[in-house]
Order: sequence, then structure tokens, then C-alpha cells
Amino acid sequence: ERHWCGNVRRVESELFWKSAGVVMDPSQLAPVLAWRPPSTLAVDGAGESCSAGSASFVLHIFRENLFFVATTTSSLSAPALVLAFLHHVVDILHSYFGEVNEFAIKEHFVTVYELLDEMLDSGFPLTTDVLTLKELLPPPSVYNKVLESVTGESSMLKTPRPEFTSARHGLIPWRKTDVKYTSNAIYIDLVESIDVTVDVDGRVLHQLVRGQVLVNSALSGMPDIVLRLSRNVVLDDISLHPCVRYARYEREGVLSFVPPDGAFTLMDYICRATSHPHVLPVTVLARCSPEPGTTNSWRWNLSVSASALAELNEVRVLIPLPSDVDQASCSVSMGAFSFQPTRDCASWDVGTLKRGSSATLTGTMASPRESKPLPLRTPTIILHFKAPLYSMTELMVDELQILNERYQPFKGMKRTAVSGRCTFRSSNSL
Amino acid sequence: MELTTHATSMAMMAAQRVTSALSDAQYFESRMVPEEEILQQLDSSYNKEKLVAMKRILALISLGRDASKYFPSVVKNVMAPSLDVKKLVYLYLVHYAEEKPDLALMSINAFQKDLDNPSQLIRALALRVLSSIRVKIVLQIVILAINQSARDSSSYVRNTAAHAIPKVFSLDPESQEELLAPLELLLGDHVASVMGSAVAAWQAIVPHRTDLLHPHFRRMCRVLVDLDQWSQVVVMDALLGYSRNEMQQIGPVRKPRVDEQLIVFDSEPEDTAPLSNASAKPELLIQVEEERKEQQQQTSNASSSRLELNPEIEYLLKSVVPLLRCQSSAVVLAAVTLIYHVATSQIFTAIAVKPLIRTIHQQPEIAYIALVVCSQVALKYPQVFLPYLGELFLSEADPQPIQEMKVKILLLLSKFLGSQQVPSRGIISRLIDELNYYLYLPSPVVSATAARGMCLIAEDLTYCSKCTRLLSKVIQVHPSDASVLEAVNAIRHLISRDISSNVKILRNLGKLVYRGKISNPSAKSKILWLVGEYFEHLSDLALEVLRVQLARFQKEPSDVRLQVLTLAGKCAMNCSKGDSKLCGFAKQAFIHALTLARFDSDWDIRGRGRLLEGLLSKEEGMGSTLKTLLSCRKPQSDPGNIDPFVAPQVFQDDSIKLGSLLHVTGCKSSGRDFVTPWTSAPADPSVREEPNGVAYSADTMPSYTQSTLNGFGSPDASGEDRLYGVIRPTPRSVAEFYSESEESGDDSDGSYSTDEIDDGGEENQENQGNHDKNGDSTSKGVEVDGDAVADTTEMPHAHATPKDPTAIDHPPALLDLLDPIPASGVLPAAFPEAGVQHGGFDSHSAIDAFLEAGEQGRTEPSNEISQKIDALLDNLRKPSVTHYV
Repeated sequence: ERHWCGNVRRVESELFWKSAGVVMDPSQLAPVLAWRPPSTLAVDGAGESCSAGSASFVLHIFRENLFFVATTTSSLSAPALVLAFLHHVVDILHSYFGEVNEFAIKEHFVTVYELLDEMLDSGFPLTTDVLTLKELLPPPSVYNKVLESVTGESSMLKTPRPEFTSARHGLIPWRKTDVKYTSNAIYIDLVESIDVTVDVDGRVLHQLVRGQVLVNSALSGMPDIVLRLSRNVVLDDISLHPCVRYARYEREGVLSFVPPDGAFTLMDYICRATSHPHVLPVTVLARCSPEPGTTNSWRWNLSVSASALAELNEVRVLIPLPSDVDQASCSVSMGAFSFQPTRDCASWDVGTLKRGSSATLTGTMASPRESKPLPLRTPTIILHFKAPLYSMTELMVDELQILNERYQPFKGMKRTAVSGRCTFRSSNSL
Repeated sequence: MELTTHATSMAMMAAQRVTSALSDAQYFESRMVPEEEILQQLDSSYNKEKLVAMKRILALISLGRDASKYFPSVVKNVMAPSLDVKKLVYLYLVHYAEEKPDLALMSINAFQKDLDNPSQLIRALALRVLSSIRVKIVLQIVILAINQSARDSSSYVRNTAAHAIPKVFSLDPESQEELLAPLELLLGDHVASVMGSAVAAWQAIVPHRTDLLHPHFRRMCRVLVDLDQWSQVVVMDALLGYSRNEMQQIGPVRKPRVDEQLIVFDSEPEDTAPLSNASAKPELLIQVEEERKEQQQQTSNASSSRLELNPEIEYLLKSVVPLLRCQSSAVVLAAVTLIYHVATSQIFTAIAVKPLIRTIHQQPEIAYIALVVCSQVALKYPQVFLPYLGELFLSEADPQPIQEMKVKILLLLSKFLGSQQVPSRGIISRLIDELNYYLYLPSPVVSATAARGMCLIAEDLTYCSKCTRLLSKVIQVHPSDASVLEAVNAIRHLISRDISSNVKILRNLGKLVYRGKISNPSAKSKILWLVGEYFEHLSDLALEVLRVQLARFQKEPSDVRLQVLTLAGKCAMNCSKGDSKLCGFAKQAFIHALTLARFDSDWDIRGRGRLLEGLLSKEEGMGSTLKTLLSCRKPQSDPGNIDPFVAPQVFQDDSIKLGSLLHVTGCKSSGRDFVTPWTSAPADPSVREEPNGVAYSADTMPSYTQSTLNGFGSPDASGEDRLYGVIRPTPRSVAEFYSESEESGDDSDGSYSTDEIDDGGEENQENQGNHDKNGDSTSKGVEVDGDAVADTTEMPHAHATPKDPTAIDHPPALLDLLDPIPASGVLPAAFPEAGVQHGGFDSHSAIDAFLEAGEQGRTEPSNEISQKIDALLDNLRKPSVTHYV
């Protein structure tokens, strides 16, 4: 329990759990809840808590199967800010412990306390930059732990931090000055996630490609990078990492930046299919019809096929079902089918689909006879997949120049397409 | 050599512990450790022991145990040389200091000493903890420390000092004056991050003192891009408040607003100072003017008006534009909010919409907030979302709250598309298809909203019969009552708008009832009403329906019985001129229905039966009064009031801050949920001069704006431009929204919507906890037609009950007059409740009075009563005048 502005009662968290208990699926809860009685407190999954003020608003995010909750009384901080901060906390915890779950938080609860203490001061974000935080508070490592358990001292005091403020308030706060690598390399990944909604008749209702340019830099010194993308025109909307020189992008359409050390997202972009129709790497045929002569069961015909251009990995089909469906028997040509009546959905793990190949599912799903007849509208299926080396937008890195440094680094570039929100409405053959 | 052996022996020792000691989780197990052991460890001279003890105590606190008994021993460790121990001790102190102020004082000395520590980290830490200890006695010391630290050489310490200011203020608001001096100092700090924290402190303690920001305004704009994302949000919020309070949106010269956007501004600004550099016309302005020109070409009658933004506002906007490209959605949303409230509508629609749409694709929690913002924008500028329609379509992969927000926005768009004669057929039919899909979704909120959306699109008569057909299909299959009810309401509205093209659909609905396919009682009762209302279009079917329903009269719920009775009356009335055989049947059926009603268990139905019977026998043949009563023209319903559906996220009031807590939850917070109106007395621009700062001129502005604006342009700009600013809902202040504005007085056209809003207001006010009991509401609630009220539990987000007044055949007032009840003044239908509620209520005499009144009605109404009835009936014959008490 960690209080910032005092007067906190634990009771209020009960309110949160009460409403969280109402919905089966944790992701279905609205992110901002208001309470009439003054309430406070924040609890994250493992029983740590931090709070600010006697409040009546509870904000939370749900990640890694944990709720991260914050409370507030006033709109001093906009709700979007609070939610973004909670996401940031999770990211930081991730970079510290490599994983975020109940066990990890318990294991490092002292570090978590100290981290939160650094990150928040009286409810306002203080030091949130990973780089600075790691200087202030070294992440746990086996070496530190052994040393600590033996001597009772951590390495914290011994590490001198003369450049601490220069890193924070210097010209380039996101990069340390003394980065050194024996072999210099920079990797650029273009990851595009595809949102698509396909109509009952197989028409594409809506299609959107959300791409990210992920950079992993392992470069010594202070490299200044110029990155030129081909087919820049297809980008409808972009957002940039703070290290990118904004004015130059606006002027010349090139990304010029001094990269932070390690992995980061250089740019997000959105391509709308209106201007350039994209070809989906996958086609889905979903037909679902009432079993003749019955009112309570469906016959399913489902096929997923990869296009000739792309191989698909980790293909997974989710079929959300009405809550009264209680039996499903399906045969699949490949992969494994499972049905979870408690979660009201069936899933089909297809696995890998080779170029041009396809997989099919046939079977029936039924509700108990005495219940109401099944609704006319058949379920929408959700598709997950990964298509390595495939790009919807054909966006490419044209040129990658490194200025300011002598060495010639290894440059790697990769493109991947993944599914975002891909939904296919099954057609009712009646 | 020695070193290695030392190391090995240490490793040996450690090896035993490694397995267990490496995880902090062990301390959770140690709750069984006796108190003495922890105390002993705290007093130990070894750092390691102390650390273990502190971790154990922290674990206890985490588990919610009371660890305050260790306070004295812990405080002693404040001076511990180890930073590790120190940090944990500080954590503990901050947690418990308020409970034990006396003991906490023991530690103050240590902090004061630490404040002079050479390490900036320790100085900052000491100040942070000192200010977090909520003990009033030390306040003066803290204020001193803040003053000292505000001049510290380290920006980190100054930052902490800025954070300490609101902490002191929250403990003792009277210290405000003393805090202003360090605050002003910190606001002027040359390091951007310190200034960001100082602005946050300013907001926390003196948000109304916008004058403090005068000298810093331009620098705040300038450094905006260099701040971290949290400070950016806070500073933008401060800038929003500042500019609304201290500047004028349009030009430095005060001019009255001509209409919503167009400002006539012909003379050059008088006070040019260094501000408006006339030679370099800002790009933003040019952009605006170009748009304006296009607009003028399209709308030929446009006046030669010209828009000139206040140059300083423009400067502010230019500083904000790069943030629209930020990766953090919180920043983008804050920037959108700022632009929404500060810029003109043209600028907003030109630059802010695309980034806003981008944020709805982020993590679901943020996307929810973004959609809430979108919904408010959609109320004001629905046309800007048309190019992005597909992105607002529901996806099965979205969580439920997001789906509900999306469908709300689609509802707003439907309202727009239905009301405007937009030549965008493609979009409309796309939206209809999509809404049709949603009608069948299991969520009652989504499908009911979709039904209302469809109803609104069909205001464009081209789509009327298509929508009615689609809606009529859903009512027999959907499991949710709320959805079916809304669909039937929509159908009723559409049929009454355009009966000629919808007769076939109405027949089909009648057939469904005839065959017993409609199970939802309220849907059934409404279809029966429709069948009776349009008897002349389907007389044969109506009689068949009536026959079937009379046969199963007792089995039906009271809503349906009431409507069967009404249907029987209508059939009998309208049949009199037609086929004699059918007519005879209709009369018999009516008399049968009256008999059934007389022995009904429901008060309402008996009362209604009595009324009809009384009127029937009053005059020879089929009474003309009765006929007028039953076939009088019914008021048109107004589906345009969609407040219950979009509440609580859409406010008619423009002054609510986008994305604030009030906006997102519909529930007032203690913070600033509203933007202040533009000031009428702006500060003189010269106060914003920077003493030693960069001179303000257009040259110093960033030069990217032009291309940015081009890049941000709406995709279909040419097609949509002329729609900009066409619709503008009548502003309705939130205060009014909450307050009980009971009598609107103006019944000519808007009485229904007012009625509904008032209901909404009532609900909301109840939520606010100061519900003003409305004396009328009880008697008004008795609806003679048994209009079923949608179950509010079905629609958790709709604060107001979607009530449809058109379901009522007879105004309650009329009934009141026909059955005067002298003593109680309570309507017959309310008898049972009234008898129960008031112990002294003499129900016998009341019932006698009621019966007597009925007798009176049967024989001869008194002069006074019949006059009143005549007057009312006269009014009823006038179209478009409606009567509600």
C-alpha cells in the first residue's frame, strides 16, 4: 500500500472488484468508472496499491491478466493521461523484470515500490524515462542479488552517476553518450497489422493497415540516421517517435534521427484502403446454416486459405458463440479444434498454412433443445495469423544512411504482416 | 590472490541462501516472524539486517496489516548510511507519519540535514519525503525548504520543489500566498521539464490566476515539443485555460460575433505592437481563407466575410500542431481538445480529425476515451467522420464498451444523414446495411441504438420503406425486449410518417400478431395500436386480429388487453359506415370487449372500459364524442431526441471539456470539467512580452505548418467543405440540463422532446443526489394506454428512460375531467398504491366517488364538465397541438 495524499481506505477497492466480478470477460469493462460515494485507492493485481486523494473515479487497464487501477477525485489529470501512464508503468515493469505477472510483482515487490516512488510524486508523473530510471534504480540481476544478500548493500550507492542530469536534461535525453558495441548493427522491422471486416457476402466493408516501423539499434557513439521510405505516398497518417526531426520530415519526407539505444518504435502509420486497395493474404469462407429439421443446431462450413503470395503462421480462428450453445462437434482438416462452453467461444488452432493451401472445418454446434431458437444472425469469426515477409502496403526502406560515425554497421530489414482486428461475418445460407 | 579466496568463501556462504534469498517474495512468508525479531533486526548495526527488517515490514503493509507499532524503531533508522535502507524507511514514514505526527517530528532533523547533502538525489529525496509527510507542524519548514530548493543548481531538485508545492497546498490551503513566490520562480525556469512541473503546480493551487502565466505564455508554446508527454498534456491544458481567459479568439480587436464562425473583420488591428507582423501572413490563415473561398464559391450568397485569428492564438496552435503527430495518444487527445476549444471550426476540422481517428485504433482503454471525444465532435461536426465511416463500424474483436460507443457515434451520423439532403447515397445505403446487421446483435444497447439510427436515417423518405421493412423483420426474432421495443417504436414512427408506402408492411405485422408470432407484450400492444389506428387501410385484417385477440383476452398481459379494448373501440367506430355484416360483427366485438373489461382485474382496463361504455351509451348510435376521442389525430413522435441513447457522453453544452472526467463518465468531478467562456476583457498583448526572450515574429515560428495542414487535409475535402458549419445544435447549458426545467410552456412543436429531456434531467439530477421531488410526476406517470416503459436496467448507459408519448391515445387530462374524484385527487389507477401509502386514506369513499362519477357520465354530465370536454375535444381536432398536463 502506498499512499500519496493520505486519507485512503481500502474499502473502495471492493467497489471495483464488485463491478469487475459482474462481467465475465475482464476486457468488457469500461475503462473509467465513477462511484457515487467518495472512494479512493488503487490496487494492482498482487496487492500493491497507490492512490491519490479522496476520490470518486476509478480508472483501470487490463494487461497481462492483471488489472492496474488508479483512482482520482479531480480531472486535474485527464483520464487519457492516467490510462497512458498506467500503460507506461506496465511497460517499465516489463523492461525491468522481463515479464509482468502476479508472481513477478510479488517477487520484486520492493523494487516495484521503489519504482512507483520514482515515477510518481504526489500523483504526478516524475521520472518516467526508462534510461533515467535504470540509472536511479538498477534493475534486479542475479549478480546484484547475490551481492546484496551477502553484504546487505546494493550496487546502488556505489555506482557513480555524474552524468545523471546530463542524460535527463541534455540535448539528446534519450541517448547515453558512451554507448559502445563491438559489432554495430541496426535492424528495421516493418510490422503491419491488418484490420478488416468482411461482410456476409464476402464484401470488404472496411479495411485498414496499421503499420509500425520498429528499430532495434545497436550502434556505438552518436549516429545520425537518415531513413528514406519508398512509396511514402501510401501513408495516410503517421505519428513519430520524439527523436525524429519533425520539420525535416514535413519538408522532405525523410526520417532523420539520432536513435535511442535498443529497441523502439520509430514511426506508426496508417494506410487506408480507399486510395490503394490492398490484397489480403488470406481468404475465409464461412457458412453457417441451421441444421435441416431442427431449431437448435447449426451446421458449419469454414475454410481458411492462404494466398499464393504468403505463408501464414499461427493461424487461429475464434468463433464467439451465443451463451446457450452447449455442444459442438467439428472435424478439421488440420490443426486442433476446442470448445469452451464457459467462455462462450470455440477456437480452432490451424497452425501453419503453406502458400496457396487451405484448411477446412465442418461440424455442428447446438444449444439445448428446450432453449429459445438460435438467432437468425450467425456469429462473426475472428481470425489471427502472422504472415512473415509479407507486406500489405509494399512499403520498403529505400535508403539507410548513417552519418556522424565512421563504421559501417550491419543493416537488417524485415517485413511482417499480422492480423489486427480481422473479422469475417459468416453467411447464413438460408 | 587474497581477493579471490575472499570471494570464494563469500560465494560458499551465499550458496546456501541463494535458492531462497534471491526472491523478495520470501518476505511475504515472513508474516509469522515474531515482532521482537523484526525489532531486533531494526536495531541491528548491520545494514543487511535492517534491510531485511524493512522489507518484512513493507510486506506486512502490502498485505494490509497495521505495521505502525514499529514506528519508533524505524524512525531511528532515518540516519542510516545505506541508501537502500533509507529509501524504504522513507516509504514507511510517508505511510504512517500522519498517524503519528509526534514521532514523525523526530525524523525532521535528518531531512533538514539531507537537504544540504552534496548529492542532488539525496537532496531531492529528502524534499520529496519531507513534503509528503502530512504533518501540519512542519509546514513552515517545508515551505522554507521549497524556497531554498527552487534556487537549487540541480534541475532535478527544482523539479521536486515544484512537485512539493501542491502537496503543501493540499495540507494547508492558507499557505497559498507563501507558495506563490517559489512558484513564479519555477515557472520561469529555463529547463523545460521544471517548467512543466511548475505548470502542474500552478494548476493545482491557483488555476484562476492566469495572470501569472503572462510572461511565460510564449515560452510555454515554444518548449511544448521538448517536454515529456505528461507535461505536454498538463501544459496544453493550462494553455487552453489561459487562452480562453486572457485572449480573444478572433483578432485583437473586439468585434461581435456575426454568426457561428464568420467574423467580419475589416480594419487592421490597431494594436499591432510586435505581434501581428502584417508582412508575413501566417500560413494557417491562408489555409483558412482558401477554404473560405471554396465555401463562398459553393454557397453563392455568402457574404464577403473574412476570418482573422488572433495572431497569438495562431502561434499557440502552430506550437500544438506537431504534437498531433505524437505517438502518445494522451498527448494527441489533449492537443485535439485544445484545438477544439480554441481554434475555429474550419481549423479544427482541417487538422485535428485525422489524428483523432488515429487514436481510436490504440489500446482499448485509450480508444474508449478517444471514442468519447469523437462522439462529442460528431454532434457538432458529423460530416467530418463520413470519410472514416468504415473505421467506426463495429468489430467483433472490440470489447463491449467500445462497440457501444461506436454505435452511438453512428447514431449521431445517421441523424445527420437523415436530416440533410446530402447526395451521398452510397454512404447512406452502406450505413443502413451496417445498422441492419447490428439490429440482430445480442447486445440490447447496440441493437436498440441501431434501430433508432435506422429510424433517423429514414427521415429521408427515399429510405423510409426499406428501413421499415428491415426493422419489421427483427421484431419477431430478437430476444431482448428493449431492442424489440425500440424497433417497434421506430416502425410506428415511420409508418405514421408515410402510411401509403408502408401499408404492406403494416399488413405483415398484423398477420404476425394474428398468427401469434409476436411474443413480446409491448411490441404486440404497439402493433395492435397501429392496426387500429390505420383501420381504414386494413379493415378486414383488423377485424380478424381483433377476433383472435378477444378469444385469448384473459391470457394476455394488461398492456395487450388495454390495446385490444382500444382496437375494439376503433373497429366499431370506423366500421359504422362500411359493410353491414362486418359492422355488426365489430359492434358485437366491442360490446364483448367492454364486458370483458368490466370484469378485468386491472384498474386501468376497468377504468378505460367504463369510459368507453359511458361515452357509448351517452349518445344514440355510436357516439360522436367517442369517435372523436378514438380517432383524433395523434401527435407525431419525435425520434430526433437521442439524448437517452448517447448519454452520458454527449453534451449539448459546448463548454464541457473534451475528454474530461465529466465528459467520459457523465459524473461531476472536483476538477475542471468545463472550459471557461472566451473572456470579454482580454489582457493587453504587451503583458506577454518576454523581458529577455526571443522577439515574437512570424519568422520565429516553425515553418512546417503549411505542409502539415496540407497533409492533414480531409480526404474528401472538396465534397464535404460546403457542409462545414451547416448544422449547429441549439446550445443548452449543462446547468439547464441538470436543473428541473419543468414547464417549457411552448407546446407548439417541441413539447415531446422537452418532455423527454426533462425526464433525462430528472434522472440525472437524481444521480446528482439533490433530486427535487416533482409533485406532478406521480400523477403524470399514470398512462392510460399502458405505455410500456423500456426497462432501464437493459440500458445501463441510458440515464433517461426512452419514453414515447405517442403511445397514449387520450391525454390524461381528459380522463381527469371525465372521472372527477372529489376527495383524493388521485387517478383511479393509482388507488391501490394510494391506499397502501396513506394510512388515513378512505378508499371506500374514494371508490364510491369514482363509481358515482361513472354513473354521472352515463346519465348526464354536469354542465361544467361537458363544457370542459367540448373545449378539449375542440383542441384535439386542431392538428399539431398536443395536450399534456
